[in-house]
Amino acid sequence: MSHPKDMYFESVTKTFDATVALENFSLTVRSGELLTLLGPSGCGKTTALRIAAGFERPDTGRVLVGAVDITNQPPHLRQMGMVFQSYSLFPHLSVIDNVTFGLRMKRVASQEQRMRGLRMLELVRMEGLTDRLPHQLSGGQQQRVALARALATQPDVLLLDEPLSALDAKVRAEVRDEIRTLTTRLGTTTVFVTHDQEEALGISDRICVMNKGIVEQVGSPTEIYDHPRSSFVADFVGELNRIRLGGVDLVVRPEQVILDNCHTADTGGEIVATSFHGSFMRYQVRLDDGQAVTAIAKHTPGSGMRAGTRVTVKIGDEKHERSV
Amino acid sequence: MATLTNRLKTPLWAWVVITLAAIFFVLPMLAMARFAFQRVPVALLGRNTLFDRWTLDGLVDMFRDPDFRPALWLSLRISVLTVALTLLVMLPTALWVNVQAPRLRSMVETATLLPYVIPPIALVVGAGGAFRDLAPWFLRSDYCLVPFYAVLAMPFTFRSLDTGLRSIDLKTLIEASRSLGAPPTTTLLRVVVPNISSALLGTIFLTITVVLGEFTIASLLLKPTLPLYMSYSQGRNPQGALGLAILLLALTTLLFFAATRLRRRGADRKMIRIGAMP
Repeated sequence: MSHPKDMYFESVTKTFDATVALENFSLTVRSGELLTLLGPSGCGKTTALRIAAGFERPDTGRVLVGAVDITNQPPHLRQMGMVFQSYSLFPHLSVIDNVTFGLRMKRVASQEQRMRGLRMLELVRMEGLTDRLPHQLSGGQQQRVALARALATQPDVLLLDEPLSALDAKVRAEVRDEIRTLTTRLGTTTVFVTHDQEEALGISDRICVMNKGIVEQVGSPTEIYDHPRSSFVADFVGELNRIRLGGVDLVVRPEQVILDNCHTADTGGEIVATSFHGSFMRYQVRLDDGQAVTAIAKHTPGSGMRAGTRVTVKIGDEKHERSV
Repeated sequence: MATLTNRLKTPLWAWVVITLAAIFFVLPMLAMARFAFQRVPVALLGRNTLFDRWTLDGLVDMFRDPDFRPALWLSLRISVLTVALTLLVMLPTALWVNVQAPRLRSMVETATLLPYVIPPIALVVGAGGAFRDLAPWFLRSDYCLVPFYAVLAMPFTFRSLDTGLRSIDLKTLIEASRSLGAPPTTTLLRVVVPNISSALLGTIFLTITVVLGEFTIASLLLKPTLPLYMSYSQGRNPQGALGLAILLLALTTLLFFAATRLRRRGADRKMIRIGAMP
């Protein structure tokens, strides 16, 4: 199943002073997929990305694209496109000159530079602002131009280092969808680094959950969410209730907790707080024995319950009633 | 708008102090100008002679003096070389501090301030002693002033470059450029330099200002630079020497203001960029 443009991390270890950033890190990024490195800050995800870009050298281990060992290649000789967390457009160059910078470095003919630059800007819907300077653009526009710039040279791998974290929520969702559409359309192999599990679940073909420099689990978003292989993954991706019912320890997602305001023989409790999120409602429930449970219910008009309501708590979806 | 409010708020006593200071500095210069450019005996320089016999003869005589041009050219050549040496040494230093070793910034800053506390005489005696034995040819050359002047200018030049580099997101810009296929030198010349151009110009102006104003070291090492020539020709052609002093003062003041303005413009641009981030 190997492809000439797959990227491999082979037993990469990287230490900064006394801190281990990556420990025996191995991962295959398949050609054409969008793989997310997800984890809390300090888990090594950014280090892995910077090693792929060539900005850090691993202490041991190798990085390969296809059969080519790029571990010791300087960054400018690698075929990597990168989008950074902070705005990285060259302040002295116009939008179009930013986008064609990589093509100039590769000595593409100037006519073709402009053509390819304009096409990239069209793809990120920035074709109307080609002559603007970066400081005249909003944050979302700057990141879209940065994306166009990184993709203009048709890199083997696109590396995205938390490119959305400086943007506000609405723009963030827009740019996120744009990244997904664009990389799919161009078939670009992409490594996306984020600490935001919602972002990771929404954008990825596969997610690699990392913690303290090691890989906890690699899998599709649904695999990671539904079948977390460690309690760290279960905790980090999505929300969890750990409760003890009828002498059994349970680990359940909030959406698996069903609240019913009819009185039955099941476990009882009281809603202590609610918060409304538009499409769903979150309830904080205190069970009669004092345990706290979070529940999420789809919102339909008239379906909301108030704080203080007595409820019966049931756990839905039998297969998840297991301890992790 | 802010400056306007500030100006209105400036209390009266401050204006009095500013005016007195201005008179204190400007009056001697006006006197200098009259002495340099009026062909009137000093004893007669007064209110009655304010408009009498203004002339550039003194200055013209000086320009015609066979010793003047060599001194001017020497100072200009030393300026150019000092600028080159400064950029060659201080730009990489400032880059290194900003990219690789921000933790060492305060140490490097302190080191660049040393010329303030080391008197030029100590510098010359110390370095002179060392070079007389090791490389006697060095002190014989007129260009031996270049490294001394680069050191003298260090407090200004390092700060100017450092401010410029800190006003941009240097690390990210370098990495973006590298990932787009630009080798290190191309990155320096096409990404870093254009974005600190005002700081670079400021550095250059400040260096020239230092070179055109330095007397002690040139005098101790007996190098016929422009400031030295001016000092020596005072006896022969006092009007010309003073006229030249005024010219130089005007030029260096202009350069200094240009440098400050450029640095401020760099800072303004940074403000705009931050302001644009939603």
